[in-house]
Amino acid sequence: MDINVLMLSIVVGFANGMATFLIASGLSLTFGVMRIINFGHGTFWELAVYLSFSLMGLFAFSSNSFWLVLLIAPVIVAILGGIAEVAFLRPIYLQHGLYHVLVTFGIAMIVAELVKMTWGTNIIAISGPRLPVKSVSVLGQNFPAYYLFVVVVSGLVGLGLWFLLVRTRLGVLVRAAIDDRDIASAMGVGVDWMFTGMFMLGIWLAGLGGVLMGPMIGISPGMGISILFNCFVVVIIGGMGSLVGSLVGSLILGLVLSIGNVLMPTFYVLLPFMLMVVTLIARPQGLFGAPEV
Amino acid sequence: MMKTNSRMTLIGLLAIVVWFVAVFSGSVAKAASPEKSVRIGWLSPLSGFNAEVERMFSDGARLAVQEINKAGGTLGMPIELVNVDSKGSPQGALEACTDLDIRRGVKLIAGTITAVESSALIDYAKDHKVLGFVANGQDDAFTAENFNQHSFRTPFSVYVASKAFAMYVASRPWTKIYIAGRDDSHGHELVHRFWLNMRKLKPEVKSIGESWSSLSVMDFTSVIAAIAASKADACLAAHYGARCVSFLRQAQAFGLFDKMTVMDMHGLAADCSTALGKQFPARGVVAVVECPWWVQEPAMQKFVRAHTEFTGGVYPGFLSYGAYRTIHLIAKAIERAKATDVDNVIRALEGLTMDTPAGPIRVRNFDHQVISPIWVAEGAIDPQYPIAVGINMTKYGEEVFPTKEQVEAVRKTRKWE
Repeated sequence: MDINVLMLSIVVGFANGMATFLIASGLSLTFGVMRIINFGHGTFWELAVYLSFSLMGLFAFSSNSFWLVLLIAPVIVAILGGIAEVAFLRPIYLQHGLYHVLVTFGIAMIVAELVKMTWGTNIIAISGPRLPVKSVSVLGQNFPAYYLFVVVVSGLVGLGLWFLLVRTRLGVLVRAAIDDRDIASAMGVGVDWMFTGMFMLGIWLAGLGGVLMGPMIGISPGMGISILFNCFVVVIIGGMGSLVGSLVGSLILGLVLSIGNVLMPTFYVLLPFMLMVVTLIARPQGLFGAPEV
Repeated sequence: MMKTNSRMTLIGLLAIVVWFVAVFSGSVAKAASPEKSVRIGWLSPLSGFNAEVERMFSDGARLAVQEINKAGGTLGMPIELVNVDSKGSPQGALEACTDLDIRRGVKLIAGTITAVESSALIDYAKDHKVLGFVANGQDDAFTAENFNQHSFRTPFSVYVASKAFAMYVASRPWTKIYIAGRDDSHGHELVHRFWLNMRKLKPEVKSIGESWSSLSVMDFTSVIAAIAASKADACLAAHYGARCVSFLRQAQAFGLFDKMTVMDMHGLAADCSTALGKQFPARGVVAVVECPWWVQEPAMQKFVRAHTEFTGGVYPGFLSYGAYRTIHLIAKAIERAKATDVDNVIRALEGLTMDTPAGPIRVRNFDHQVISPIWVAEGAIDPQYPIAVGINMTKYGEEVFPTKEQVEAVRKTRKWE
């Protein structure tokens, strides 16, 4: 393989991995704390993309419309996620896991239909921010500045999450709940509100990912399902509930797809499935996940 | 008090009887005169896969119905479009056909966007002897190996697009092509037929790499990195809808159009160009076009005005144009047949010619394919319009459609060679 091709593939794979990390970490966090696989995660991502489209129109008078939307849209989606959690998930926490899957799937359907009813079915394309430069040289390759911006934001958010979970008292409580929520609850931790907060944080991450990815893609209803699939691959490889696992899983997926596309272009679409199967056989809890006791 | 209650009950009962008679007599009257309108069943994905382009598709059919009815209908009767959800799936299309045929008694059925829905429609038409008119499905099999006397197809097929691209490539000094295919039967057929034609037209043109993306992919950057690194002269892509928008945006961000031309069958489709607006790549996109709405011909401009008025500003694309022509063809066939029954309409459709905004079209007898002019055009931004237009257009006619000999050979061998 030509060294330039390899460099470009690495840069592209890394950038894709970081964009996926943002969304997958939200799914992983929700599972880690609440032991709920949120099938609605992708549709909240989709909701954020559509919401950013409308808000961009609303703030069109401002030259900083994108930045305003980047701040506001994920928060709105997180609030809606919080409402959904209190209304639909809280009553069924003690039920079997299958109920959680069915209810989050139901939430996904509701959100998807609301998106269709509100924004219609036409394809849309969202404008990105005006950056001082269009492209930047990375490893000798010209790389779009906006993609680099997404990598930087994802990295900063990842650091922020690590700080929150490892260096703050809230993080200690969250980790305690991840390890054993019954004991955490018995020790006086307000598990219900922690669950709501963490669910909202997970949805906020999905929303942030949605707003950031909006200017890179064409948007049509139902795209949340596609993004959810990538998130599942990441959390299976990295391990459910592990922030580091999400990061490593995202980067592995991004790099494998990118380099695989050059080395084996006909079969590279199989690579995510193969990665998933190999991980489930060799290490069912994922690379950084804790084994079930 | 008792008397008042009885009177009220009597009035209530009378009101119910009057309402019942009014409603019932209406339905009896309707049932007794089924020929008051010509009902055409219309299958479109109101839900499920491709629901995002349903309105764009069906608006063409509705516009045609409006025009025909304004002009007095067909055989003096208005056309009624009976729209049923095909759910974007073969099962949905089959259920919709059954609903139209068995429950509603509609025997002239048209519509469908995808190859799988269209396949269900033509199979139903064959088995139940109704008319199945495919308004968008582009699978070659409909008019070749799976052809039946009850089905017709308006748009050009995959073979036609691939041959037009092959002829276009042959006219350029290009020898290295990268394939960025869509990993479904349609995408593979396009590439297979492209090389089939390319080998005959200019054998020195070679593939120097290929990638296949699944339908759910929205991130093409790794594919684009591989294309950019391939040093190809041009890339043959096969994306449509939101995926086409994603592909073009990402190719533009990574400067792919500075390095080569990308040929995408649906690159200038209205759904794609409308979404991108002025963000459409200023150069480097080449597409197959059936409805060059930017051409300043009176018939085309009249159609564009009608279309934009009807849709609230949407320019016509291949979906709405295919639907529009399909309904007009059926209406014209009914006029020609002077009847609305399936057999007479089929006979009238065979060999039928009709003027359309893009020029005259004709229905072939031997495969029921509509022959219409098509163009290969380069996408460009024109300040006069809010969306991309085509420039440097090359027009093709029946020479890009499979010949009778080819079709008959495929029906025998079930192979495109």
